[in-house]
Amino acid sequence: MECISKPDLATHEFCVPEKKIMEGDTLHSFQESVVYKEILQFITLLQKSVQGTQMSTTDLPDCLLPLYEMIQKYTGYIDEIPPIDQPMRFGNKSFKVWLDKVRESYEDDIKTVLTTEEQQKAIPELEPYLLESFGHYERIDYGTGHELSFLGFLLCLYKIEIYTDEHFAAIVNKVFQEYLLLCRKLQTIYMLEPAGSHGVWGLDDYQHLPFIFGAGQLVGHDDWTPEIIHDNTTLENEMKDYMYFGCIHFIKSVKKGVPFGECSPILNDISAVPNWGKVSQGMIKMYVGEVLNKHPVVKHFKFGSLIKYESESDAVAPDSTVSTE
Amino acid sequence: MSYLEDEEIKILDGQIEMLSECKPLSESEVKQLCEKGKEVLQKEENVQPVKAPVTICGDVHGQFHDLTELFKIGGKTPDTNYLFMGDYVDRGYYSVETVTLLVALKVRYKDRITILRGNHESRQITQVYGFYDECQRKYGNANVWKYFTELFDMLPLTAIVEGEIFCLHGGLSPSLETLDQIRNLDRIQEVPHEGPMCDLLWSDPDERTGWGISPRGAGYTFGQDISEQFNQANSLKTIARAHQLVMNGYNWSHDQNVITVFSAPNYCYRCGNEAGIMEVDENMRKNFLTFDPAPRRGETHVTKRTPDYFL
Repeated sequence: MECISKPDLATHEFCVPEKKIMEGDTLHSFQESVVYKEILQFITLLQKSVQGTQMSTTDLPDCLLPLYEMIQKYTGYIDEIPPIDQPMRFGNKSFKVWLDKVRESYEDDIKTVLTTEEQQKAIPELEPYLLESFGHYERIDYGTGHELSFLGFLLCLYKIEIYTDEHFAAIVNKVFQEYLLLCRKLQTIYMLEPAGSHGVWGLDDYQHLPFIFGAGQLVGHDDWTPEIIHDNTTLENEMKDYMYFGCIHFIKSVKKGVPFGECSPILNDISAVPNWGKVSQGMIKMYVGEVLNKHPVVKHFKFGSLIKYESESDAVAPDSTVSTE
Repeated sequence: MSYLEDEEIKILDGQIEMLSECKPLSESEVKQLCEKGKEVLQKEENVQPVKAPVTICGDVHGQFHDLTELFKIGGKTPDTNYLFMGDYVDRGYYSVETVTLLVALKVRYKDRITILRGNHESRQITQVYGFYDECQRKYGNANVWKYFTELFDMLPLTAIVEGEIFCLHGGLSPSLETLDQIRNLDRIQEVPHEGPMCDLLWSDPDERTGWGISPRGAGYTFGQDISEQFNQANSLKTIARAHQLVMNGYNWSHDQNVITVFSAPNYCYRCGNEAGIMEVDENMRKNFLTFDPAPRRGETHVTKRTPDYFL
């Protein structure tokens, strides 16, 4: 299988990522770009890697331990920075203090993840992807654009060979899950506003990727059809192992006293899809339609030397071809 | 003299009664209602004059049961006069029922209720944030969405209560210094991506002075200096606006030059905020009422429909 392109680190020149999709642009160039296909390929590979796996039984490899600990450390910062109690519009301003603290410690932390000198040259390029993956500093909100930024961060780490294909399941079941728990804590404690939420007509107010990965875990699981999300006992018992159940459980715990079909009609609809394979494919198609192809979301996404804003015809390197199946 | 025939009043009263129970009208009834609604709305001004007493409300976003609660707390139309500052649709499960009821009330009691345009009363935004999908789901086609979005083009942009309180959805625009400049805008169109009409529906007040780039990607942020200057230049006391979620349902800013009112409690079923409405009495005294979501009675009738992505 052809794979996602990786640079030759000995000669590669990194740069600070910038926004390239402008107001009023069509998304045509982005959709034609190499990286658009790479992002899709990356998501698909991550989803496949977790099929039949459970989060608690997935091992965390040594190469990912520093990254995992970094996320845990940032989660710990939330306890050190309680929300302030003062009149404000909505989102709690302590979020800014938290994000400032993360920004301050980023360089030291990322050095534990990037072990070689060559990899460490990527520090400034990685920074915006990570720092923009927790929510908007000014607006104090969070949405799928921020989640995409974290995916960009993980893709960059893959490209500079912090980890390899054999670690994909751990990236999802350990690293991404830890990121998800951090985001939920941020959303709840600092009351991050849902950024560009479609309300009940969206999949979820904040996330999309955990539904892709979570459905992937359940592919081939014959005991449970997608209908199982209406069984709260199963959700509670299995949410530590299955990301999809964790997401549904979180929604139900936040949106109390309302019929699930009313507050989450799309997820309710999806519960009638016959099997997890269809749910998995549908979740990716929906991600393309509702996140990657939506200007208001991707206009904030940044491009650099690893995630290049370059069309396939511009890309000359013979090793940068990809298959999207 | 009434502009409605007795027969029309009878039909409208019946429709309002149905809608008050959260039952949507038929496609053909919506079509007729929107025709009548457009006639009424296009005669209104860009800065629609409104008399006190009036109760000023912010975003509703399809939270029908909470709109019912709002009328319970604030009083029924036509006993209470209302001014809604836009964002009736998107995000909530009942945008169709919500906007149909408000338009029916507008047609029935045109001098008792004013409905302004919000940034969500637009073709482009409703195709992303739910109203389009909801119309498809509830009517099986997009005709109702088309009727309503055509009507949205006629909605007035702003209102002014007794020459003192300037009401609009978003905020000020760097290209509009006076109310007369707003009066001169050609509003009967889809909300543009930029320019003065867009700004009125998209801008937000900010702690920083002067004009700023809005993180929303449309409209501007404006500081206290701008609000003070605008109020002074136009002999206004207050700018009342909606557009932003506020924890307590209402929020003063810019040294009481700007009031934000938000009328969707526990926004998106998760934000835990109170909703607010602002009563203005005949002596222009302001009184704020806040409310939480009403406890729900009975089950919702929800049908499943496989989204295209999952077919």
